[in-house]
Amino acid sequence: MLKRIIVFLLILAVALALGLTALAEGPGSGDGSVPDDAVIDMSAASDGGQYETRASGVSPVHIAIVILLPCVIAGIVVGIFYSQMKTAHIKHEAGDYIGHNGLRLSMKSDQFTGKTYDRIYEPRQQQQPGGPGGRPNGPGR
Amino acid sequence: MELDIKNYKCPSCSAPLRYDGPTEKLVCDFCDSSYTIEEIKAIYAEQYHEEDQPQPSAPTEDAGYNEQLPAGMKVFNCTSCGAQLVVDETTAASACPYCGNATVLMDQLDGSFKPDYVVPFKLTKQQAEETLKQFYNGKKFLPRAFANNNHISEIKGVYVPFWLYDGQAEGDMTFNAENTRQYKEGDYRIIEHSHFRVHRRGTLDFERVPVDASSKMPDAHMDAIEPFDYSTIKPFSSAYLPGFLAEKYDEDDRKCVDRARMRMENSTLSEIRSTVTGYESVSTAGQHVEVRFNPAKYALLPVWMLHTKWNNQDFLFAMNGQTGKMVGDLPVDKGKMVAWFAGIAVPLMAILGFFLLR
Repeated sequence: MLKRIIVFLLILAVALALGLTALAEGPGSGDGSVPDDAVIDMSAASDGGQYETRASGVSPVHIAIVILLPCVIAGIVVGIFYSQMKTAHIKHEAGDYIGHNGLRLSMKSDQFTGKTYDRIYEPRQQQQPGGPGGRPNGPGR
Repeated sequence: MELDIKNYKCPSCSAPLRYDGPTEKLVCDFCDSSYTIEEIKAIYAEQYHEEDQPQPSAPTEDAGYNEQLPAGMKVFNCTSCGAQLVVDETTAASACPYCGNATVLMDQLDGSFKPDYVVPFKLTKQQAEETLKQFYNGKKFLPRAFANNNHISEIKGVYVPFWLYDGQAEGDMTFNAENTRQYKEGDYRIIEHSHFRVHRRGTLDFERVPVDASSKMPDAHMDAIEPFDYSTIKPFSSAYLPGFLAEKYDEDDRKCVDRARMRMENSTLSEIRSTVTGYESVSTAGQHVEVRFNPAKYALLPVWMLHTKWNNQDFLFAMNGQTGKMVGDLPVDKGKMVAWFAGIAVPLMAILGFFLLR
């Protein structure tokens, strides 16, 4: 059980890493667009090769994720192990001693009292005249 | 001071008998005889013409010694070897440390102190020791030296006094519940909240909720070894006690009832709450539980108490003498804890860093 939890947390961490990487690369990636904060390394191009782009700085959000997420996951695993060391606890329920008849309900009412509404303005997206796949507000356009 | 005591001796060789859980018989370790509880009762009834008639203990040699005893202690003479033994005032069964003679102090089990029931021991001392070793397995933060070099300094089979509460709880709860649905209307997304007032009233019976009645026993340990299986519960007989220690209660049923009430109330509320289904969100608006108790029953329940010392610290473990459930707080190796934390966090940081910070 414990091993499954640990494996699950590790897979979750890797999946998050991959997901965040995909987000970080942005929707414009793969279509030739260049992020606003990118610099172009032309040294390779002068030698007849392809030029490369690289991020000009590291996002503080990413640094926070890299530090905090592993700490949270490690904390959960350590917490599970620690709880195994302390097994003497006061009981607050008596579920083991409920009679065979179980709960006998003498009143059960579900009364509808009314409706409320939240309205959220969400304008319909305009279709791009050039055909499907366009993003009117996408980056790099 | 003179105590009424009772010894169960082997009818064949007069050696002390002890109750053996696995065979449910009184056995003699000297001549290997064994007797059922009914057989022993019949033999003793014939021998003494009255079942459970106690033997008066030999008077103590020095009456003045009794007067100098600390408060809360009692003294009696072993009927087998004559040794003078001092016991706690709540001790109901003991064994002579010199000759091993099992003694039941009938004074401690008379009148209002006579238990209604007893759940006999099912597991042996060897099984308790084995269970403790298994209990260490898989504990990642357990210091290696504790598991390898630790020796059980004391192991006692104790019949712990418990109050068993029967009761009927009537609970009344009201809830605010809500369901939502969403749909589009022009350029707006509409979230429709349907509100409900939910009312439940119900009755729940509880049978034999145990609360330990000895101030010497740690409540957390006694709670955590539950549940007890009452299918093997017996009407009380002192014939189940030889070979074990037994305590009498020093906290009466009125003092312990609040713990039973709290547990019954919480269980009633969670049972009623579980009937409110079909809603996306439910919040409790009001609740009331009334518990009516039947007269509490007094029972002796079997517990193996294991005591170890390590690094000048005491560690107490308790095992349900019927089901084998073991509980207790173990020492934590902080170095291992840090190593595990770092061993998980650092590689994850490296993986995340590789993907996010390149």
